[in-house]
Amino acid sequence: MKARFIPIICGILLLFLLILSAVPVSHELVRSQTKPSVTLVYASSGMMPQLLDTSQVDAFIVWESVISTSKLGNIGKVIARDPDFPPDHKWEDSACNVLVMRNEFINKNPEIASLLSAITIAGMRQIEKDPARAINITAAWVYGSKPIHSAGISLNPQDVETEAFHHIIFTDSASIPSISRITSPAGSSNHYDQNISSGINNSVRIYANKLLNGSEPVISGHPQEIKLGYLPSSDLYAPLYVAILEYETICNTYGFCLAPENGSSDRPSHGNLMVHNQTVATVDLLPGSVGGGVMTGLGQNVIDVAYIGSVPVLLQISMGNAASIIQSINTGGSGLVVNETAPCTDWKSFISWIKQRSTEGNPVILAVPQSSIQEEMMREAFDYEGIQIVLYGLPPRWNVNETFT
Amino acid sequence: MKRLHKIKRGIALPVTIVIIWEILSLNIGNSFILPGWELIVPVLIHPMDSLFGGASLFENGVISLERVLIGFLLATVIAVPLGLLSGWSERVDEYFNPLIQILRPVPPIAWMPLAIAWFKIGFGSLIFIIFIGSFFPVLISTVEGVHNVRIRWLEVAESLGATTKEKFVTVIIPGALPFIWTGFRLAFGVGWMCLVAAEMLPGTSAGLGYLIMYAYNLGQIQVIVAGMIVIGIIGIVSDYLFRCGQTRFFDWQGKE
Amino acid sequence: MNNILEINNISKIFAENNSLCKAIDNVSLTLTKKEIVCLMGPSGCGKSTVLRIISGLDTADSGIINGDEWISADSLHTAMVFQEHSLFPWLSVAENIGYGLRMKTRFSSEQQVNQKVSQLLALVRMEEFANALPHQLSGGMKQRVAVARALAVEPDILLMDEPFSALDPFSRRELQDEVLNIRYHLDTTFFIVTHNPEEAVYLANRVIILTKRPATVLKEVTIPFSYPRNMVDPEVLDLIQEVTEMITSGRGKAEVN
Repeated sequence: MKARFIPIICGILLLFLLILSAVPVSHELVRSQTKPSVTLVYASSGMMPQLLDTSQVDAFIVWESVISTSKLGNIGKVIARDPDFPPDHKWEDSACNVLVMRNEFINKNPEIASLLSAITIAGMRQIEKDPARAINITAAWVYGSKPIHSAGISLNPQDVETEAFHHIIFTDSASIPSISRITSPAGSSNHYDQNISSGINNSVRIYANKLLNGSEPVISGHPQEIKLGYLPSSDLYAPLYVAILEYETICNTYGFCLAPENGSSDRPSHGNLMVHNQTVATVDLLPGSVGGGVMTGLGQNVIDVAYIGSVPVLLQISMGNAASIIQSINTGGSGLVVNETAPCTDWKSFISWIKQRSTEGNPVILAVPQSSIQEEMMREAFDYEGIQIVLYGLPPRWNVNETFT
Repeated sequence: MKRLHKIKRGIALPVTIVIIWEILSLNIGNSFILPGWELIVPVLIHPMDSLFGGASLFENGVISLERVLIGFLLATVIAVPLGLLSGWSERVDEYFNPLIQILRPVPPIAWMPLAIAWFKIGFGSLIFIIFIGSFFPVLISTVEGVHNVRIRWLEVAESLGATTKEKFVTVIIPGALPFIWTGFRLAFGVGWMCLVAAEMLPGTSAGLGYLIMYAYNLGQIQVIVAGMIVIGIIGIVSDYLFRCGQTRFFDWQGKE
Repeated sequence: MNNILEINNISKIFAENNSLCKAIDNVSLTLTKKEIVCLMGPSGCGKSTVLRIISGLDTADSGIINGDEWISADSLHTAMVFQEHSLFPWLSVAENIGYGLRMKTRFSSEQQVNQKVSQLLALVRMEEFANALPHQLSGGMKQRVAVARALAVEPDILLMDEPFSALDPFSRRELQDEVLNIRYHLDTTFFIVTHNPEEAVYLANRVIILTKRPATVLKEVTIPFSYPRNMVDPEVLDLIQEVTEMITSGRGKAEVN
């Protein structure tokens, strides 16, 4: 009967699967199994506490305020922060997040670019002046007014932000980190150094400081629409949040500010760039979910200005994204979280734990946000410690270690 | 000759699009908006090269294909018997139909957060998403297939002495097979699309969807386009194989 | 006598549009061995229902069959040939013919099945098409296969429900001759529902005519001619005319087709 072919086809498919999984791949030939290994899994920041709580991962590294949420919610303990990661305190004063703009935008609107930079710096000063108010603004922006519910716990957003702010330094002058793994991915030209050095634009920030010191902005042309991208799940952009919601103080102090269109909203989506009570530009605040995606938006000319992590920015600039870093926003704010019961208290004991688990054949699973500064920190630190990275869920034959080629 | 003309007509439009694409890309001069084929083709003709320090294009394709086949086979193994029973017995249908109608309109991707909690990140949750995506087309086609089995065939079988079980095995199943096969074809397509979408979410480290998302985060649009082309090619080839199966095994359908 | 089927006063009521409708009313008839009986009557009078009750596909509501208070005919050894679309399209001609033999109740070995199938293929002259699929055959060939398939289970009575009505006149005559040929070789009784008086007179030993709904036996006509019948013989033509009138008289006007 003709129905007999069904099992035959199933058999063929299964055979096909077997053959596929046995195909030797080039990397397999050069791979060595002698090093201890750690398993890396890409996850979104919001998933991480849940993953740790359900023992799907053993540790995660991510940005504030997820770290403080996990700490206050007793989901895990923070065992290391930015300065603790090797090699040699590399990340201690590195820019974690940056203000980045499209080159074309800067060239066409140098005054507006400088105004945005100046307003960001004004926001930082405002945080310094009134940290309590800054924490309230940030908590409401990131979490709204309701308690945070995560993995079975309930937290007050303000407590979380108070904790988080201890570990973040807002500064416009942190150094831009050098990313060791950047080389040329397929299809793009390798002008890394050239691109990076031309990808940092100091003149905008220098002029911004002049504006803050009383120099009058010269605005030419009609008011225009600016698309501003940022990641609303992170509190590291507090200078932006504070600058917008404290616009009155800033306008009174400097004569310019970014005023929200809807004054009562905790998380406005439109603002007006004001100079002496005149609107010189409207600003659309576009929430993104990953820095890389926002950065691609800059490359595609759909976003002009962005507040995002330094690593996706550097990766993309090195690959020819015509954008420039204007200034840093913060340093610090990353943290490595493990389960309360994990046998480690700092980076050193974490490494011992990794090595031990690796020998036991049960490597530690670490969640990282994809192409973030945190992933970069881990890649370089593990490279330094001689630990091999295995990507989660991949057959071992498909894992390439450390380098980005 | 006729076949050649058919092929010619089939590729005319894609070739035109490629040419227009290239002209536009040269005019725009921004590979983030429209990467030229001089960037895309190198990715496609080096499918074994590692991309972004991870798996290569070929490997990502293979791993996606493996996942989709496993999820798809799992779905068929459960959906076909359930569909046969549900189509055959009104009582079984009364039990399952409301639940199926409630669950069917839910986009498989909406299951992702739950899937991660239940089946863990990576393989398990992805397989579940493909399973959900493929399950309903197979189930519904199978029920449809059973309902479309001619009563006349059942009467013939009964008049020739077939028992209920024999009628089920020798009439219902082969009579419903063309519909089931169509269900397979649909389900594989849906499963494939669900997989690529699910791989774009965090929690995977390989696969074409992952590759596309990673390339997006790195602004490598040419890799995205290459990934899309591979997805399309795998889709066309699998659909072609299903259609071959249809003409090979169910030539009788609609002609009896 | 050689009676293999005696039906006494069977009735059947259908529920239709919330009202009950009597389809057949006290129908009685007898079939003997190796005879061809045609069942005729106005359209929709319940001819097929009688056939289905005998085949066991339907049950009667009251009546006696073969001496038993009886409403289901499962125990009777019959096989049915339908008007059309009855072959299993996924099975080859040979597999279709062997279908009934492969059912559990039949206990045939594969060798017996093959032997029987070859015999029947020869009987209906379809040897060349043993491996063809039904959709590759003409309408007449399909009905020949359907007849062979029904004969394979060696029924005492072969029930045929308007078996040739979907065929063109040429194929129809060919099939009618086939039936006569089979009857010559086998002991099977043929009970054929038809609405074609010419067909009935060409084939049957007896013609049973039913009234319009609710159906009851109007008349039984014995056909006195020997086979093969000469269809241009005036006596034959007269009898066809007579049968036609008997059917239509029950309805008051001539039945078309």
